[in-house]
Amino acid sequence: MSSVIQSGPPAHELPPKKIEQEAGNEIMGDGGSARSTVLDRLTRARGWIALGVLLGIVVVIGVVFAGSGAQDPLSPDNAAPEGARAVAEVLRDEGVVVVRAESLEDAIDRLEGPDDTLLLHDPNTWLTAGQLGNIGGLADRTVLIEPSLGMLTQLANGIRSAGVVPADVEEPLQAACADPDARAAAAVSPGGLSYRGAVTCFPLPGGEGGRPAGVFATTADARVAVLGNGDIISNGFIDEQGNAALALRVLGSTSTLVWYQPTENDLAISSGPVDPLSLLPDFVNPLMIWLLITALLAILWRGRRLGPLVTEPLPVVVRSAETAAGRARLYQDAGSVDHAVQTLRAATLNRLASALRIPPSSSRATVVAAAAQKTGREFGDLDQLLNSYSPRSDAQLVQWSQELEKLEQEIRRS
Amino acid sequence: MSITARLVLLAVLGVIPVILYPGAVSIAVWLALLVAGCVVDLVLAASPRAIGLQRKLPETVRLTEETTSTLTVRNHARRTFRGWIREGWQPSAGAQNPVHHLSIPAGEGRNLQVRLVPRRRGDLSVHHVTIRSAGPLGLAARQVTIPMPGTLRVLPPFHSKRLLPSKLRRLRELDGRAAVQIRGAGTEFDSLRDYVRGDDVRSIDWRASARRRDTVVRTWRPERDRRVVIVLDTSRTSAARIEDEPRLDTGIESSLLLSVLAQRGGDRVDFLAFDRRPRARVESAAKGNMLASLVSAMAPLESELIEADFSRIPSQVRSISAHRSLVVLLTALDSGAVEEGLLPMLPSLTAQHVVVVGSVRDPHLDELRSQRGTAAETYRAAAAERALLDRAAIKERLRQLGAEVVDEPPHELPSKLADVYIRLKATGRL
Repeated sequence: MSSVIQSGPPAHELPPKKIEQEAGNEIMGDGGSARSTVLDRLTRARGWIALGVLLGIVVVIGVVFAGSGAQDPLSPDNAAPEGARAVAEVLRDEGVVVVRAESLEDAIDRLEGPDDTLLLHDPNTWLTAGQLGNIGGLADRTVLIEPSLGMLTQLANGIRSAGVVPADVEEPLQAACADPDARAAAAVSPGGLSYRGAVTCFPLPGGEGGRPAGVFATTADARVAVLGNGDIISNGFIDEQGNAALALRVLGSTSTLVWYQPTENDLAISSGPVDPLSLLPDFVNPLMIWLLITALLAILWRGRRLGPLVTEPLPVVVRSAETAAGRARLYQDAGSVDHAVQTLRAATLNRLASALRIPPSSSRATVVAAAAQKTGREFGDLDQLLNSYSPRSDAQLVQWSQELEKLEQEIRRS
Repeated sequence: MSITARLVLLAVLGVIPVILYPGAVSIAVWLALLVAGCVVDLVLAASPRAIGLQRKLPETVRLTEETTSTLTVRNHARRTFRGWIREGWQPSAGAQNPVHHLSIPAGEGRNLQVRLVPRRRGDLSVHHVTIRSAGPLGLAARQVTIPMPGTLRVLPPFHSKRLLPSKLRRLRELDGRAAVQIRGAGTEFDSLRDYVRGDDVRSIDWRASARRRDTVVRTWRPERDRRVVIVLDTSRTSAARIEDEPRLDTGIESSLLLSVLAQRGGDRVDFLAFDRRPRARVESAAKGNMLASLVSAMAPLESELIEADFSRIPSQVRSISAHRSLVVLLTALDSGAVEEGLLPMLPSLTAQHVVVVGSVRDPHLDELRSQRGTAAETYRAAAAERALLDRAAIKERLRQLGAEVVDEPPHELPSKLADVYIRLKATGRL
């Protein structure tokens, strides 16, 4: 008798020995060098480095030019139309030393020497009466640009404010006074504020009644001059009418011109609450900087991976019974109770037929009759449940389907 | 390059001088100290490009088993290597200790063992090895990633192997080696033996009995050297996960059990994985261990997101076997795909071969069917009933076309398929 079963090692065992792959040649290095790695990194980071350098340059330029008041109106360093660099440059060319005072103390220091002019332009009224008193009288000649009432009181005794120059005054204002500077200029642009002083020049038209108010006034001794229209010395208007002549003559009469525009730093410090930051120990700020550096190092330490990420080719995942769930939602959204009823009925009848051992092709009445016989229920009840009744709403559907399920379990158990 | 935890710790220690001597100087000095330390380390570190690597990897591993990848590291630099070495396995390779921290004196070598517990069947790959070499101070390190590709083939687990002894026993009973002998187990005459009580009287060989003066019965044995062609569908329907196992994997399990059984039964087994073109093929004529070549052919199989082209299966089967064979089709009985593809093709196959269609049945549908608590659940029950009815209709049509249908939940399919094979063999239908 021959054996069907093959002899030899059992076929269902995997080969017992583990086949090792060839170990292959020894691999050393990646073909590069430290130098090539550095160059490669630099080449790849080229764009970022360029961007960083550009940003640095912009920041440096900003810092250099922002601190010098180049943006302020009537600043001697501002080349914009509202600045006054033109006048300052021309005065320098003419041999006048034009210095910009950064603060009140600075201005006072600069006015130590002889033969100097102070240009004071303080539209925001930063200086108090006391500070104005400190600077008053130091200069041989003081030119106030659009001064406020307080400045006039402290520095220009006898000159009073006379309100705003009306906007409808468009004709150039004529000198019409004895002041030689004004006469040399002959006419200036209108605008700004008007004043009345011992000598009032460039009067506004129409003020025939009393003493006319003008945009340029001086005290009797001509040591203090008030210029009501700052635009006259601005880059934008300097070349109109006699603006240039007036500005150069008024500001250039001495060998030094101190150009002082007070800032918020000149505010007199009042005895307010103490800044809490000043109470901290000295080491706090350096410590913060050092902790920042440490944090940066920690980020670099944790951020450097030990080799690149390895990708995983992910398999396709399809959930089972997905189509059934989708179809259920379709039934429900469409409210198709009839469909659900038909399906549930057909499935139950099928299963009952096989449970009752009657051919699946037999009629419903046969199944109902067999079920009634098996369970001992009324034929009419079961016929209604399995055959004639059809639910109309979701609630009826749920109740009916549960009764079907109950009947099925009853028959399967018995 | 990279910096180490030690450098960060040193930076934290810098807090002390900064507190004691606040100012820019202490910061600058400490920073300079750190930078100097890093520079010294980078200069004095052993070059990671002077480290030689060699990998030894087993050819294959079974899914539930673990294996090791051995990396031989040799230090060809003039300085001692201290640092970390990481093998870049893909995540599903389940590398337990991919990173090793070690120190190798100049000119020496070490073996690194990376334990792998694969979590997926198929070809798992390792792409690179990363070497990070720290300097003597341990503050900064040089790092290089060296491309070093490798592949480990993870074979299907063959869980249904445990069913094999019982199935083989039943096969032996057919064969006549076991105690039970039934008539009609085959058509091929095997031998004569003495009549014992209980034997079918119809199998008594009267002529031999007359000669021997003793009652003798004939025994038959099942046919041998029949062909079994297993066709595994790898199209989109095989991707569906049923009880957390893709249909494809259940199909692989069933194919393995059936092949081993059929081979032990003396039949010749051919395997074909197919969707629109053959994905894997194992021939019975091939030399060597049948199971080994089967599992290694099945290992890289993946579900393809395309529709199966059933119309080409008859020609594929014909190219494998010109004779009458048992064709086992492992596919999905989802309505739609089957009606358009499988049903029209089946008659041409059943005309020549015995066809068994094996499919994984979704037990989840049965659960859905009996949950009828709310309206949503009832609609879902109705949808599940519809799916089951459709499935029943398809099975009925398949049977009408002359095919056997095995539609079982995943954990029972291999066993039931094996039973069908044994039954067909017992009734001599092969």
